[in-house]
Amino acid sequence: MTDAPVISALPAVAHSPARLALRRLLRHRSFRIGVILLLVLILAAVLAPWISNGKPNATSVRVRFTPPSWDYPFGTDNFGRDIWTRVLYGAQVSLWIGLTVAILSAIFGAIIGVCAAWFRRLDSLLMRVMDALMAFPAILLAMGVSAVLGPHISSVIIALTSAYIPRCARIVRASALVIREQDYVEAARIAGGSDLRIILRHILPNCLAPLLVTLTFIFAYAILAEATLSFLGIGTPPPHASWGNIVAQGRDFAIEAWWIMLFPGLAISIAALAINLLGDGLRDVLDPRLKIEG
Amino acid sequence: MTWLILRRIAQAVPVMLIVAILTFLLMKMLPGDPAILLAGEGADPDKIEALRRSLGLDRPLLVQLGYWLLNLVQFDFGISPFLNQPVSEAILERIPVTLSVAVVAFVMTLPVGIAMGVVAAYWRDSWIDTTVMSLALAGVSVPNFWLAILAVILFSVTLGWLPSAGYVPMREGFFPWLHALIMPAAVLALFQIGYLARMTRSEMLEVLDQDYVRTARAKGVTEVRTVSKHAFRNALVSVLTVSGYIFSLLVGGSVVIEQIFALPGIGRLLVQAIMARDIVVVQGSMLFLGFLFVAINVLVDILYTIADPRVNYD
Repeated sequence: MTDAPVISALPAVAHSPARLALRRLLRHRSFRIGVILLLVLILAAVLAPWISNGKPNATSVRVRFTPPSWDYPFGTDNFGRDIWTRVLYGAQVSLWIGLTVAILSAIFGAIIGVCAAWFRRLDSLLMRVMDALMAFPAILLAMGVSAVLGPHISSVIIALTSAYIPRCARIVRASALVIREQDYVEAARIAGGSDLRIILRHILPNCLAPLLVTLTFIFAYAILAEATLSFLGIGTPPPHASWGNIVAQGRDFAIEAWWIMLFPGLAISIAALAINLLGDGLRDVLDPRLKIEG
Repeated sequence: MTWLILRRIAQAVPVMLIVAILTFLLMKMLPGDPAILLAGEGADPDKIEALRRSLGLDRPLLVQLGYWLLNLVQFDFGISPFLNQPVSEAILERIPVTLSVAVVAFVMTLPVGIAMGVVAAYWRDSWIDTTVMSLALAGVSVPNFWLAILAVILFSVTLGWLPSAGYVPMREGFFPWLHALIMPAAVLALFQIGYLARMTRSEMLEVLDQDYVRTARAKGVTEVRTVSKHAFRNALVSVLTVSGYIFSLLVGGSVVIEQIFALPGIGRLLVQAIMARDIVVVQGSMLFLGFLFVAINVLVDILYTIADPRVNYD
């Protein structure tokens, strides 16, 4: 923030901070591994209709409990459904829920965080409500909300979003409190900038880096949490294939037909791993001082 | 100091109040009439009406909220029609199981997580760092319910070392108790170990770069002493700050683990209540856990004040 006057002394081709950050990111090893893994998963989810063996819920009594083979790479379950196909379609559900939760939490968290930091009168009320929500571990809060709203994909999204909003709100509030005291904000205020304009032009853009890092980790947690809720039977309802509910169905046959639960579990792990790696890279480059937030 | 502690306790009161109000409102959002839900579909309308009146559901929302808070102060969480038992009693019966799992997992998490973080930071960027941090990353990425199933297959079914399910109360002996808990607790701990190791490492890296560490080395203090006294002591403060948070997460995680290992804890109670749509129990156990977590946070902050007198809460 303090290097603004120096820029004039640099050669005219000075790179923008965003491009510098991007270049450092691309050189970051764990970021690269994470991005590649995540792209493969997204590609698999998008291409599911073409690379799978038909419909995820197609049953076939003839092929119940087939071990992994050339025709059924991940084997089949007790209804003869192809696990490879179900894992691919499950990727759509899990990645979609994870990303939606992360983005919605970031948006609502940013609104609440900025309001708390800018309108000081709202601060203590908003933050006490956030504290109360934070008192519950995310998975418990999500269970409660999910219990009330019933088993739908949308209630899983609402449940997890309400669990992660407070984390985003805290991060944004902390950054915004520092930024509002900066000289350029003071200058903008003296120049007659309205609250909304200052918030949109000066406060929010400067909160983006830590928010983006937090959002990435929430993406990973949300995938794990959705899988957990679905495993417990209060998340994505069958017959929608979700990684968590495939593991739940395979649990009863974990010894005789280990492949039913093994592959969706691996998929969850790889997805969470990829996003965590990506998040580590983002944190190292964008915001090295941010502590890992749960 | 006493003043600070009292103030911290006072700060928790509004949070608890909001926890209570949020839980109340959450349950009010439940679709359908709770009286019909409790009496069962197609029950006698008079019976439903009587039930509604006995539950106070015919009164205005604010009055209901008032009664609800008043009952809470007396530790009255209502009576579950499904269990035929006061909710507070049902919770108190089951909370020792949940706390046992969480405490054993906590005792595993702290030393292992901290040791991993310190080792990785000290041999930064070496193969040791890479190996330890890959393990930590796996810890925070692998879903624990899935790991639990794999652990049962390995340790119970194949090797036959540990029981696959069930709980043994502490009064039947410490070792039988630990034997029943060790696998669920270890599975539960792995995520938090990974989290703590990652945090400790970044904390240690920051401290190892400080001038006083260089000074200590320069004046010839031994490596072990430099790391343990000068660096680690300072990193420990922030590590301990998250320990309360970690314990809360372990209690929350226990809710899931109890399902797999058939442990009769509060998590099983909660999931069964959700399945049976037993709102009184869902509400009561959510609230109880919420209060527990607020209390843990207060306790940690107080311990923190005692450990580091420079702290204040503003």
